[in-house]
Amino acid sequence: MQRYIIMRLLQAILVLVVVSVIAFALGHAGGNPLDAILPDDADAEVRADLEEFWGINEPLHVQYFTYVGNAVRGDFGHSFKYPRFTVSQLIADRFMATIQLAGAGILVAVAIGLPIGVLTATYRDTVFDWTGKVVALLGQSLPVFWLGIVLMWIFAVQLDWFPTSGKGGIKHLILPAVAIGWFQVAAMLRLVRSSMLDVLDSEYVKLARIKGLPERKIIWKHCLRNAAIAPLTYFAITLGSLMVGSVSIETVFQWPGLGFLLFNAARSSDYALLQGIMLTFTTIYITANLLVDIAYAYLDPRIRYN
Amino acid sequence: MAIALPEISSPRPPSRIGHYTREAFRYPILPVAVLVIVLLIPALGANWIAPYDPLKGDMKNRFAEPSAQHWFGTDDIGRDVLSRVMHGARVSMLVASVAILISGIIGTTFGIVSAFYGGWADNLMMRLVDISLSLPIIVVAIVVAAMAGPSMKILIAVLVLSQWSRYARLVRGEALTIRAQDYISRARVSGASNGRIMLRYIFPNIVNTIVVLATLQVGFVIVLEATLSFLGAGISRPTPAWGVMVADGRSFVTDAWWLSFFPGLAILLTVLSMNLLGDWLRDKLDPKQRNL
Repeated sequence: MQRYIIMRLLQAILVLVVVSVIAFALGHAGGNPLDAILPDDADAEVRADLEEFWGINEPLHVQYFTYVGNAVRGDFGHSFKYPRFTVSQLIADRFMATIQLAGAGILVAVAIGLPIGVLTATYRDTVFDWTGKVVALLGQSLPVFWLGIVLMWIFAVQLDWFPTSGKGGIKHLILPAVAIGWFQVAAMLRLVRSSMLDVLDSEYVKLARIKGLPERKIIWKHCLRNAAIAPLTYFAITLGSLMVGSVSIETVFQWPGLGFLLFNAARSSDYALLQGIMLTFTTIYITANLLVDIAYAYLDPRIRYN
Repeated sequence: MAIALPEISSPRPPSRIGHYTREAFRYPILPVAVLVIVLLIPALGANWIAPYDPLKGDMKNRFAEPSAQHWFGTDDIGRDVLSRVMHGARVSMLVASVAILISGIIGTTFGIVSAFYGGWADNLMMRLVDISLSLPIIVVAIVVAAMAGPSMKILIAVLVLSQWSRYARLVRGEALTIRAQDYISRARVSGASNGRIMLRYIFPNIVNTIVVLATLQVGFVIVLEATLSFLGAGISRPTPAWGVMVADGRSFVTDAWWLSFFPGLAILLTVLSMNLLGDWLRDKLDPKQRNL
């Protein structure tokens, strides 16, 4: 197990290095970033000062190592668009909003996916099972950004139940959370269904039936408790990939999180900010995947030796 | 492989609805029909069947609601949405098929070579696959497009980057099993070269798996392409692409719902049908890959 964890950890670090090189290289592929923000007739002295300030005059590999050294300490330099703020400040400012949205998305996924998953496993080949299949299929096929816009049109524009966009109270959170949770509903449903089927087949459920316990109690108490562990663990740690997936939903609802910040940074070619967000997202994503892998290796020893 | 056992502990007998629905789904008639209508015919024939020019606006007729003249309405500069959706099918189909073809070729070659040679080469190649699988692709794509400027080539490159490793991993697994078969060592004894063994003895045995994976990935790739275009990291304006159309319609959602709705519906129908078709193909061609 230790060996497995170390191997996975090394691999995660390798991915981070690759991404940091990509992030760094991209920042330089477009030429001198100062050209983009300075007017053509800019004063040579001002230019030199700015080059000094951002360290653009150093050789490339020195710039890279300085960049990574600073990044490890959480210093991604200054944003080009908002020079008053450091990239880290901008990211920290938006971080909680994204966590909030991803967390709410998971709640939606559990609230919808769990009961439907139980019903589809319990009543196989019935209306419930087919409803579940349709939900799962739609979960895979609906483009989330479009779902977001449709929800916005129905519930915010036509019915006027919720605000169309922005961040505020709980009302602002509901539509984006449903949109982002929808994709996860399908995953939740499948996981719960398959682990419920396993549990339903077990000896203690047969015993409970023989004892004459009401079916309702068997399913929702005895089975669900055991069947929900794996899906819930999985979900707790997929928060990371959900955060990365929030880019399009945050853009639709103009939710002031990291995803929307990334979208805006891309539009204004703010490359320091882009690199910072890219590295932050990659770190979150890789850490989350690492935790999932370790959790699974812990639960299923076969994975460790593969 | 799972063997279907009779359900002893099933609390209820299978219902009639389930039975009939299953019969209807035995052949994917509906998905194929939808694909032909929504994707294939518009993609091939948009030039002839689209009622209007997808790029020419009519400023006197902006934001026209869906009507007999404009089935899907018109947009903010008076362009016909139906014609744009039809031309958008061409972009989606072109991008998805090119991306899948290239990733399939790269991934399959990679997987077969990796399995065939084994050892450190295999190890190194599979680490590359792991790295590519753990990239947050949407984020990478947005950053790349922001730096290099969005274009169809970059879009396809990003899609390939996110897809090739799936083929590589799957193909390697299959090829490993095949490499251990007797007929491979016999081919070697009879003088077949490494290249010949890989191409003529291993490859034909995994074609089914590749076709199934490719079909199942079409939907995913179309959604990814639309998402990237939506985020400004894909097809650039004014080319009519579904994702871009949904994005442009977002600003007018209060007044003109049809701008976003119809292109999105086209994505949904295409992807849904593709997934159904993929599931069906998998069951027919490659039943052991139930967990694909």
